[in-house]
Amino acid sequence: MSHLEIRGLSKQWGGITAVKEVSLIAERGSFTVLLGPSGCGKSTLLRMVAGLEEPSAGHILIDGRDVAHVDPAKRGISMVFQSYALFPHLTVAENITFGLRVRKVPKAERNRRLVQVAELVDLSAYLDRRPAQLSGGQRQRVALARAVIAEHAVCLMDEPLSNLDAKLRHAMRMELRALQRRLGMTVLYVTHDQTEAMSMADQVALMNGGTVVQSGPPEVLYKDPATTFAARFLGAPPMNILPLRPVMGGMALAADPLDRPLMRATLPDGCALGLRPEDLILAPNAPQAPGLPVSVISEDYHGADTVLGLRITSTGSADPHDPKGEILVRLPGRVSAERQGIQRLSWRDDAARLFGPDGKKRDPSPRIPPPQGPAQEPE
Amino acid sequence: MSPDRRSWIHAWLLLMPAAIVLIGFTYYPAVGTVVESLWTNGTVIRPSKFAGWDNYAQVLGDPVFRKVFRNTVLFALGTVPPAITLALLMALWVNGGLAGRALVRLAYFTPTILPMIAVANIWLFFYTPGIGLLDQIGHGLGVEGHNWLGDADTALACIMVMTVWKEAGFFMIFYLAALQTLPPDLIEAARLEGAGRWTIFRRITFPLLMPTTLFVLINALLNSFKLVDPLFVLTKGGPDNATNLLLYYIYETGFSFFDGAYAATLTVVLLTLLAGIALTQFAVLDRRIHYR
Ligand SMILES: Nc1ncnc2c1ncn2[C@@H]1O[C@H](COP(=O)(O)OP(=O)(O)OP(=O)(O)O)[C@@H](O)[C@H]1O
Ligand SMILES: [Mg+2]
Repeated sequence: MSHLEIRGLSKQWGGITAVKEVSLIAERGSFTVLLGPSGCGKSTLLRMVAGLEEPSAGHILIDGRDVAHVDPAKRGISMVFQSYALFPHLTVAENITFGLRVRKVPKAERNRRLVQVAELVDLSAYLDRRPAQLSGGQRQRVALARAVIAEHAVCLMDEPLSNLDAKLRHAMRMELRALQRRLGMTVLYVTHDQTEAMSMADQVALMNGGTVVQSGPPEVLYKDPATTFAARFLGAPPMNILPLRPVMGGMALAADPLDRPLMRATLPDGCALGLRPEDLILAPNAPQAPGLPVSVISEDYHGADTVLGLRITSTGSADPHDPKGEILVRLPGRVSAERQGIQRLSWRDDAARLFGPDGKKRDPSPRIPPPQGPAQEPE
Repeated sequence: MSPDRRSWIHAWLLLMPAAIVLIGFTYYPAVGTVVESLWTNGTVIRPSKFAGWDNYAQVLGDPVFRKVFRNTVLFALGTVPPAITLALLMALWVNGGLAGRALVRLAYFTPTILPMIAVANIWLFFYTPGIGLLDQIGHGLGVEGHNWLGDADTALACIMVMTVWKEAGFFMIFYLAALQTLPPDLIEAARLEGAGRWTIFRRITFPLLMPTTLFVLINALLNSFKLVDPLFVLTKGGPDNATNLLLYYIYETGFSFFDGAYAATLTVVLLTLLAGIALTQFAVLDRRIHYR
C-alpha cells in the first residue's frame, strides 16, 4: 500500500475556484479524512486524485510518481462512490470482479480473490444476486468489495456511508476502519460528518472554501483548533466563541457586566475566547465565587448528558427571550431545568483558547483563568 | 327507480361515448374482418357464401402473396437493424460534448417531422433516372445512369434506404433520452477499473439500454410491416411486385381488385403476424433486460 501526496492542487471552472492550492500528505496505510461543509471542494479534490477531473494546477504523487495527468485506470487507485455506482445488470460477483475481468485476470485467480473478498465483507451468500435485491448496507459492502479486490495502492471514498441509516452507519464505520487496518490500505475519505471524521481518521484535513484550513490527528484538531472555523465545525455542540473587549487593566469578556479583566495584556479589537461546552463549570452563585453570573435559558437532554443554554446576567434578572450571546455548556447526566436563578460559570484554567481578530489562533496561547473573586463595582 | 339502477344507467351513459367509438371503429371492423375472411366475395350475380378455410388455403397457394411476404421480411431485415444501429450511433455521438450538438440533434431529427409522402417525393427526385440526384452525381463521376426504382433488383433496396433515413432520427430520440438517464457514476466507476470506451459500451451502456432497444425494436418491426405510403409515390409495388409489401398488397386486393374477402383474409394474416412478433419479443427479451 502506498503513500499519497498532493501538492498545490487547484481546480477552476470558468470563474469558479472549487479547490485552491491544496497540499496534503497521506502516509502509507493511513486513514485520511477530508472534512468540510457542503460545497467546500472535497469531492472535487477527491475526483482530481481519482483522475475523473483534470486539475488546473498542481501535482498528485503516488509513491513519488506524479499522476496528475495520468489516465485514471493507470494510477493504481480504486474508489467507492456515494451512490455505490453498482452495475444494475450484473450480479454481485460480476460487479466485484468487473475490474479483474477488464484487466484480463485469469478466471481461477479471479475466483480465488472473489471468494476471499466476499468472505472479508460478509457477502458470500449474496454473490448471485443483483444489486436491486440487496439492502443498502449490503450494496455498500459490494462497493467496498469492488474497491478492495483490485488490491490497489490507494482507495478513495466519497461519502460512502451517507445513504445508510444512523445505526448501520455506525456499524459500517467500525467495519470500514477494521478492514482498512487489516489490509493496510491508504484511504482518502470524504465526509461532511464530523463524527465519521473523528471516529475513523488518523488524519483529518478540514476544508473550507476550497482550501485546507487545518490538518492533523482528530484529537489535535479538536483540542487545538487553528481557527474559529475549525473550532465551530468540530464538536457538537460547537465551541463557544466569546468576544473580548479592552477594559481598565486588560481584556474582559465583552459580556461580563462587571468588566473584570481576564488578563493583563492589551489585545487588538475583535479578539475572542474559545471554550468547549464540556470544559465549562457551573456552580451555585456566591458572592466570592469565581466566574460569571449566568442564568439558564434552555435545556437539551441527550441521555448521557444535557446541554444547557446560558446567558450572562447583568442585573440578576435574565431576559429569556434574547438568545443572543447564548453560551452552551455540557453537563453529564440529566440536569434539572428547575435550576432557576443565577449560577456561576467558570472553566478550567487550561481550557480557554484565544483567537485573534482574523479568526486565527493567537500564539503563544496564554492560560486564561475565569474572572476571579469579589465582584468589584464598576468605578 | 331504485338508486342502484340509476347508478348503473349513469355508468353506462358515461361509458357510451368511448364505447361507441371503440365498437364502431375497432371491435366491429375487427370481428367483421375475421367473419368476412370466412366467406366468399359476393357479387350481384354470385351472392357471398360460406367458404370456411378456403380463403386461407388460397393465401398459401398465392404466388404473389409469397413474393409479397418475402419482400416484407426482406424489408424488415433490411431496415430494422440498420435503423436501430444508426439511431444508437447518432445518439452516442450527439450525447457527447460536441460543439453545436443542439443543431446536429435537430438535423438528425428533421426527417422524422416530415410526412412520409413528402419524404417519398424528395427521394423520388434522388432516384429519378437521368435527372435525379444520384444519376447526376454518377454522371460527374463518369458512371452510367441507372433506373433505380424501375429495376427489380434495386427498387426494394431504394425504398429500404429511404426508410432507414426516415426512421433512424426518430429512434435516436429514444436512445438519447435513455442515455441521459444513465448515471455518470457507472461510467466513471468502469473507467477507474480500466475499461476503455468499447468495453464500457459493450459491458455497461449497451446492456443498460436494452429496455430502450426492445421498445425501439418492436416499434421498428411493427412499422416495417405496416409501411405503405411511399409505395404510392415511388413504385406502386412494381416493377413486377418487386417492391410490393403486405399492406400495399392488401390495399390493392381490396380497392383495386375489389376482392374484399381475400383482402380481409390477408388482413387477418397480417394482424396475426404482428401480434406474434410483439408477443415473442416481449416473452423472449423481457425476461433478460429488466434489472430494477
Ligand atoms: N462541474 C462543475 N462545474 C462548475 N462548478 C462546479 C462543478 N462541480 C463542482 N462545482 C463547484 O465547486 C464547488 C465544490 O464542489 P464539490 O462537489 O467539490 O463540493 P463538496 O465539498 O463535495 O460538497 P458536498 O459535501 O455537498 O458534496 C461547489 O461550489 C460547486 O458548485
Ligand atoms: Mg461531495
